Amino acid sequence: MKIMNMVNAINDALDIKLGEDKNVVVYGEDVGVEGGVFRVTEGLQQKYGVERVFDSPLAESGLVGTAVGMAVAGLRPVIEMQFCGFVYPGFNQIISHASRMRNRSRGLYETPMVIRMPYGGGINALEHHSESMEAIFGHIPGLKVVAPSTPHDAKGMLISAIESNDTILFMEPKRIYRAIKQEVAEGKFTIPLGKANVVSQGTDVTIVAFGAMIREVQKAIVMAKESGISVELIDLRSIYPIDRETIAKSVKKTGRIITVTEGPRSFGLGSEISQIAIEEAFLHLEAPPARVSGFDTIVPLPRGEHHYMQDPYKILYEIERIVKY
Amino acid sequence: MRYIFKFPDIGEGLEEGTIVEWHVEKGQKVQMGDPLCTMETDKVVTAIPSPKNGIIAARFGKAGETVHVGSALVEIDIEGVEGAAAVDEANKVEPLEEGAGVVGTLEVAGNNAVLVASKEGVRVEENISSGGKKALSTPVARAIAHDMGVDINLIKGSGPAGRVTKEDVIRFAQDGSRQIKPAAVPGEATSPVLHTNLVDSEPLSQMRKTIAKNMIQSKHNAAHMTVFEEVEISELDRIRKKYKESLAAEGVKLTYLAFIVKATAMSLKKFRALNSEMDFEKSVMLYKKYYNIGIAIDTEKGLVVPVIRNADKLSVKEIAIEINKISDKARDGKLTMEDMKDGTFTITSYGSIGGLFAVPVINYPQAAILGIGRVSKRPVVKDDVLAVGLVLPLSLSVDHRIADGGDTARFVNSIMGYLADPVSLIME
Repeated sequence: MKIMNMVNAINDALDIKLGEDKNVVVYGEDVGVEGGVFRVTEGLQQKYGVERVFDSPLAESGLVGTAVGMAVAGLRPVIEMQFCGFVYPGFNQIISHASRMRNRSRGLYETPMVIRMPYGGGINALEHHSESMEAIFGHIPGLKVVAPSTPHDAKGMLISAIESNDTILFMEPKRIYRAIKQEVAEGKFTIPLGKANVVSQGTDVTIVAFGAMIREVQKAIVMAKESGISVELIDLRSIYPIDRETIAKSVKKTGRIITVTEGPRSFGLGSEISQIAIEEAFLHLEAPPARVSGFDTIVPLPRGEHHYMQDPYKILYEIERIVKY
Repeated sequence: MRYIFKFPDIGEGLEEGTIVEWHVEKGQKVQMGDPLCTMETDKVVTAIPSPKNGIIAARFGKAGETVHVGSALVEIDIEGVEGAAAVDEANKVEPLEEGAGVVGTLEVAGNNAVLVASKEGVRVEENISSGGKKALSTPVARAIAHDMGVDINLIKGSGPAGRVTKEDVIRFAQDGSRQIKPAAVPGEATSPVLHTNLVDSEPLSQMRKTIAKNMIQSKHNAAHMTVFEEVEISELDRIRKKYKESLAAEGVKLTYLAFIVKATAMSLKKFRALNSEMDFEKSVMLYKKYYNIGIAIDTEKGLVVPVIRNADKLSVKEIAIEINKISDKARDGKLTMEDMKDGTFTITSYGSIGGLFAVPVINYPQAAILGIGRVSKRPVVKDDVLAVGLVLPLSLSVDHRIADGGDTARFVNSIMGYLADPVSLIME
């Protein structure tokens, strides 16, 4: 066991896979010499050389496109999108090629690649640096979209993602990159993608969240407990494929569900999860599924960002409202 | 021996502090508790005391610099080791973690804020009871249940897989099966006991249980009807006063009640319905040919009703003696079942304590009960002249199943006649 934050844990996972699989390559903007703007890839170029860990030009379309080519050719590229909001120029490569290569080639070619993206707000950043775009990627057939909430999960999930033969959007909650430390097992271990984690058990309300929101929900749960409300928290971990079974089981027990997500509300992840709750546990529901989410607008600049962010009080408000319904 | 003193977490969840001012120099001798420096955190400005005696070998950080919890603050040379060696050692301390990033600011966890290791794979299911079974139901049925004030979880569903349907809710609400069991077994209805500091919860005494049971039985079975009357008893008062002294000499206390018992017993003989009992089950009336008058007596433990047997055959004086006897026994708690059984009619003289009129509850299965109110001096019309009268209020409750209004009124009139003209009590 070693105490790590999420940056250390991701670095550790990359180190392990670079070390054991010569087909793994890691690159992106500032990834090589600089070690990434968040220092996630720090020391890797020194250790594995410029052929395996290197800087890409400032061109996201080329970044993704070259990875598609490498993956088809048999490598396992792990590329870093410096910020989630920079992905748009590479979007066409993701949708038009990466996500459908297997289908297009009738199974002849695969694109085993990981696109790492720091996502989400709460760090007082500028425009294009705070988006939470899980819904956009979750909507695209052929992609897997995952997001860890702890150093342990980040390491185990990233190793699983690199070993997967699918194209995986690995969303990293940059807000808690360094805000959480945890004892993480040394050496290689994996966490299966597609499986949610029941973080804490409860009887009155189910809350489904992921990434940086887990910590906010946990604060709300402490306050709710003072009002005698027992909350079950599910860390989704995998946005697609989504763990219907774990959600359904929990909602059947509690009869109520709240989703807490950072992205804009309309057509967001909250709607999808609410619908799953309705389909799987309609007869158990005691209140309409509720959503705590971002708003249908661009994440504000630092001065106004807190209005947009989901804090424990907004979550607590929904918990109390839905229990009294 | 060298000791590296790290900036301690001096507040809950503290992550960093700013050095305001150093109080020690390199090479300075310090005692345990001496202030090393003043630190400003987001919560307090406070002096950081030295944890050891020794010589300051090195200081880390200048005034105005921010120091993270857990990073080295000073090195103390406890046994006089060379300062340079200490500085080398201190330099091996891990570099400060920074919220690296070209854009934005990242929150950095303190070294003491460590999340527990994941227990995934060895998770032990917490055993949380779900607090009763929850109903399967559609939202519309839940809404109807809510509107009707019904707890849907109590309803047995008739739909697929036990689903509670709209019809189930409506049926449940209408058939009243959700209500508390009707008082078919009187006295056994229970109410929730409150366990709070505001309420003293005490178990019911056997006596209180009996009283409660009898009262419910009476109110449940008898059709209560009450008439109110007033009778002027100046003459009775005169006679009572006349004999009071001499009887007191014999140890007998002569009260109005003795006369009232006598008048009642004599009136009962004329109106047998008032001295009867209805056996509804067997469809028979039981007219009693004995006149045992129960006297309701208030005691500390509760109401008791000892009986004066064959009151019709006793003189007023004998009745007075009997009343004295049972009162004493009641007060001393020495009444036996023998003293209290076989009453045929009851008199309750609440007026001796207070109350002009009351509506007495029949001592079921008796047919009636006479209530005696408070005697008071009142203006009355005597021979067309306004005079001061002594007025006794009476209230008679009858079981209207047994006694009709006519008999009831006539019975009251009879009692009133005896009391207004007490000599008549010895004429018949």
